[in-house]
Amino acid sequence: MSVLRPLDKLPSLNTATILLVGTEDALLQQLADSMLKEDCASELKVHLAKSLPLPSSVNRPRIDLIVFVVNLHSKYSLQNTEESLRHVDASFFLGKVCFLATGGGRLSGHHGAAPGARAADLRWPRARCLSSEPAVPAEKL
Amino acid sequence: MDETVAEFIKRTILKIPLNELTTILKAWDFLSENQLQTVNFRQRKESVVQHLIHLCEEKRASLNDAALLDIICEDVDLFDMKQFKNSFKKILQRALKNVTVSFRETEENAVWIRIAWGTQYTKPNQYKPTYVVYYSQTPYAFKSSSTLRRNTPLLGQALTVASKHHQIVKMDLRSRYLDSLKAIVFKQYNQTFETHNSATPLQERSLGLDINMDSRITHENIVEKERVQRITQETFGDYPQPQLEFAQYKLETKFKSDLNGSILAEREEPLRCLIKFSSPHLLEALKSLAPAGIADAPLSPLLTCIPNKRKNYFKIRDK
Repeated sequence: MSVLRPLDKLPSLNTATILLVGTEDALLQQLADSMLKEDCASELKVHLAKSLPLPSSVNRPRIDLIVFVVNLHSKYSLQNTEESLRHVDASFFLGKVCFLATGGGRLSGHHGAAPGARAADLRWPRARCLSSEPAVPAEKL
Repeated sequence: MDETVAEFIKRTILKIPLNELTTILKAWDFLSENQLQTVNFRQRKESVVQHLIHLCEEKRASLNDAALLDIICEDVDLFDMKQFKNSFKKILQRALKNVTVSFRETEENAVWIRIAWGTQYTKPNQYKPTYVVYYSQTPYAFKSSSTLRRNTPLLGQALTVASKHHQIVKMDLRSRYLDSLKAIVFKQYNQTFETHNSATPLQERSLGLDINMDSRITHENIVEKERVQRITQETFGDYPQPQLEFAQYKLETKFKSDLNGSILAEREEPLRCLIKFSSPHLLEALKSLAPAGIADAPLSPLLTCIPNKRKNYFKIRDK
């Protein structure tokens, strides 16, 4: 099972690569464009993916940050993220993963069941349960 | 007159039903009024035909005249607007006594009909009329939904008889946009407009729609994206979709569940359930589902069959 590991490749000089993972491609594209407009100390590259695992490719640079984009209105989006999390090594979660929830602005008019309870499952406690090993002990860093 | 021409005219006239003969002969405009008046159209057909051939000989019909007659006969829908209107009005008036019927002809062989309904004892209500559009060259009519249900069978009967058809069938297709209904019913929605882009390969064309081709952005799932684009294009085509506002599915099926001992699964009778999709432009919305990442491609055939099956109201039962 292919798993993303944070330190399995050498870093490129002065480059940072962010991986955006989410089902809504147009939204990821928009987010990538906005990111690239910001000033960045290093050269910034953005990769967009619908889900993990990524197609095998030798030329991919080392990934420095993963952003999971979850649409609060879409169970499909949540399921996609949950399944993708299985392909991320636990050590990534030491500051190199973040979750971005979208669709919150419309919640006030929303008539369906509040999706909040399940979305909260994605937070740190669940990510920690991915690997049966405990988090990397301090002395190994 | 050439013998072959005479034979040809004879065979052409023999094919015309008697009740249409005078109409066609008038449309042909070869034999004069005086000549036609000498013909007794009530006698046996062979005799009528003999007489007509004799008249054609008198006037020395040429091959061109014979060919013209043939063309007029081929136009089978020699639709008589006046006769349709009279017949339609008569049927409604005979049944209801109080009814207002108005007609307006437009191009495309369409006749708009407005009907204000009354009863035997009450005057027609002019504020709740029904509108019908009948395309005389086709077996289709479009009706507004403002009809009181008790008048619907009568309206159907009037349309059927006046248009000389055998029966009328209600299609499960409804929309506020007459043009879209026409496009679906007459199967005219799949016209692809030729553009200079059609020569470029699919990949370039579809990705060109993305906001930029910034080399700092990499799409990891390009193969999947292309697959989705291809399937979407195969299903929906390149053309703009006709505009519908709803798709409704009435389900009468048994409940299926993975959980054992579910109360709903134990029911013998089927469950009734109504699912309604609504959108300002339903078909375009369905087309954009897979590319937007909201649904997997290919979509369910229940959704994609709508223009093809010419229905947007479905009843689904267990087989």
